[in-house]
Amino acid sequence: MEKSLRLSCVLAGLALMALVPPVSAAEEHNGARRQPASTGEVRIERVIVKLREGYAPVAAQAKAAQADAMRTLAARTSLSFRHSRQIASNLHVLQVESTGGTSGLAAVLRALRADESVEFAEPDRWRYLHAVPNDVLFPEQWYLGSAQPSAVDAERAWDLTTGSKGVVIAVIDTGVRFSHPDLRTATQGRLLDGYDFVSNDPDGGFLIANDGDGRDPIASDPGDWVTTEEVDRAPFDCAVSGSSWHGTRVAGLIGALTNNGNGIAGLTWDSWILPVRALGKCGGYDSDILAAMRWAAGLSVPGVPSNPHPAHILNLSIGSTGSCPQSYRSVISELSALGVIVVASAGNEGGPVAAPANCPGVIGVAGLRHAGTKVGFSNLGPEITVGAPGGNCVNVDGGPCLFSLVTTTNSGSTTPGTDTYTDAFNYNVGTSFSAPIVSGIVGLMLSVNGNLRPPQVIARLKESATPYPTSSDPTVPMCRVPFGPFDVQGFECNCTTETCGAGMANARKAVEAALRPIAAVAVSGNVSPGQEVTLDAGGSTAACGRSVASYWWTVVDDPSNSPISGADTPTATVLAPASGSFTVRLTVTDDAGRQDTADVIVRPTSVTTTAPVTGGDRACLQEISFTPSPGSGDPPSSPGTGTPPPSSGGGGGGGGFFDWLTLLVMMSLVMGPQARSLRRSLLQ
Amino acid sequence: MRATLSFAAAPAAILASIAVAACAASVLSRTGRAQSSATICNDARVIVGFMEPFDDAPDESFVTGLARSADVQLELVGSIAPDLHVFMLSARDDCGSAMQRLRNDSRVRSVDMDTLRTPHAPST
Repeated sequence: MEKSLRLSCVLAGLALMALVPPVSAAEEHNGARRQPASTGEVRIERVIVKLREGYAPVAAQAKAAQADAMRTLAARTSLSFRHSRQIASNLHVLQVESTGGTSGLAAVLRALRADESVEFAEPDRWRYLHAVPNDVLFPEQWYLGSAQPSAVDAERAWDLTTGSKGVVIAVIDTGVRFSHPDLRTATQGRLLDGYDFVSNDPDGGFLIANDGDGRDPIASDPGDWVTTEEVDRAPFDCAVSGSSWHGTRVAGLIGALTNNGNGIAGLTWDSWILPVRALGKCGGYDSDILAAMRWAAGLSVPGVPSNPHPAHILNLSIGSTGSCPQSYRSVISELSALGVIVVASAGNEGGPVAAPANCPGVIGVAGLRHAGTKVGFSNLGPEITVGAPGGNCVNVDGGPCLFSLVTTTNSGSTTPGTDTYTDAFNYNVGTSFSAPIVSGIVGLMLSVNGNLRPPQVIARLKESATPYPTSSDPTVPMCRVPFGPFDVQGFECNCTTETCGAGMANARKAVEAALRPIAAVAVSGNVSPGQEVTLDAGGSTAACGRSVASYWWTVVDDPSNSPISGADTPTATVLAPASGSFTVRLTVTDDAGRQDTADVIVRPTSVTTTAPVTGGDRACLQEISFTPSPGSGDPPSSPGTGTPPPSSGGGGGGGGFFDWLTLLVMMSLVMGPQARSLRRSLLQ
Repeated sequence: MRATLSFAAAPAAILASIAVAACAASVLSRTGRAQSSATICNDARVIVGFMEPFDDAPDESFVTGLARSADVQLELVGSIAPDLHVFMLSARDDCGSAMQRLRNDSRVRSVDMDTLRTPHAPST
């Protein structure tokens, strides 16, 4: 029943979508229907107005009296009254004339909000059906909905934006399968061409690369299986495993082709994915990963052609234990200065956060169970920014994995086989897949506000996160900050902000936060006691498709009540104190009523603020048009070499080192029930 | 279905011990074989950050001088950025000491082992 309802909604939405012109990404819409663009002509604005106590006619008074009250309000605020309707005794829908466009509505709202009788005034917006994509596996993508506590509510985020073709998200990983029909087809695609950064082994060979060569423009994943013969050969130090198709899995979560009636939905429906191959068999060296990061961000790397489509976001579902190396700090600092956002997974040892997720300026992502508690395998610690679903099975005794994160993959245990999807038996879990969920959310955020810099994205991602729940099971302990590299909590625990970040990532709320304007403050001239200080908020910016409607400066903590001039203009003036300090708060409001604030601390000889001087000039990121170059994509498949490893029953993991789960599989063989019990606790 | 803490008695202690040992082995293995296999540092891949960027890569005389002053052998392998370059490092003593001597050089900002990173997807 529900399925057929959804289907009909989607069909209706698609039909409507064909009837209206496209609008910019930041205008409120969903994937099924979009709003018409404004014409600039005189039109009727619908506004919901709540009157303060004492100004509203009592409920018993006639409708005429209610209408009179609104007519009087309109006259007092110089608005041309057309009609009103009562919702409650002090809540009305008021229709007035405006000159059209968002600035007209903003002027109406400004006038009403300035009247002392008005408690609030907000647009009476048109609401749409939630955007529900028609991808056949979408019902399996529990993590995109809102029924489970840790699910990110992408469905409602898509009502605001489904992404932008101006956003590029780099997947620095094992490469991708370009052949996957949910990532690239002859007529559609989410994949840019990318690059392969896996260089030769220290001995000059190409065992890690596994494609017979070093760096080249082919970012295709040839498979990363490891044979029994290879594990004993330098430089390998990892276990026998099948190919993971790790990069393909990550890419699908971020942005599989969506609403195409096939496969899965991606977090973003429109943004581009830049596959950058830096991992081969057993992983990849820092030197290749760092080079890949710089190239992906548009920086030059010796011997490699420049990247024509620099990424705004880098996804790193990789890492290993240990502190953040100086080399990562250096490169991440470079990227941050460019405005590039780095998202990294916490790691799967149940211990301290791995590098590079523990590096300053990185959005570190912990893995959560469906219920919002930490999943056993996820690392944890104060370096984490937010948590996101990491996949958990609950039913681990041979039954289906109940909360796998379904995504794109390949069936080949060595060389590529059939392009397919993970499922409840060939399941997909790991913090590797928590990170791309967050990368996708950040992609949606930048789609509506391309001016957001890394610190702003991090702050808004945190503020929009849902607080962690506490399990009703009293045997589930609280998570604690690991006290050392060997302090492992490989079990479910109740997250805290010290261990799993600010909360559970929420796509809808994150996009709402991104839609807020950016308050910027510039200070001109020298500051000296008793002299005027000019504060300029003219560099403040609004989200894509919006405009800054008003500025408001207030002094918030000055007992001497310092005067402020130009309080409602972009440029305010205050007097620097002779001693002590006070704070001036700037509130910037856009034409949709969304606000951002910035505090400025004024001292006798200095003025400080954390606000940027300018909000930026790329609120709407320029759309990228891309056609795959001839011969790009997957090279003709060649048979694998060496002895294929034994088939694993599970998700064909990352071909990693001696991680927790491989350890437990081995222990299961030799220790029986106890080991299986521990494995259960990790995956539940 | 959820596991409780009740099993965390003697078997758990054994498991934990094995796990800690495995974890320790893992950490050691990830810092490079050159470092863990012997006290002599032999062909360890390191990433060196320099105070000043180079147009392309450090020239041979610069590398030779740096290696001599730090009493190590350096072979340039590749470049990441104008100020970040990859070398094979060898020395008569252990890699940790050799790396520290390089760090002490005023021309050097940082020295990190070129560590192998892995995907964060558990093998199941």
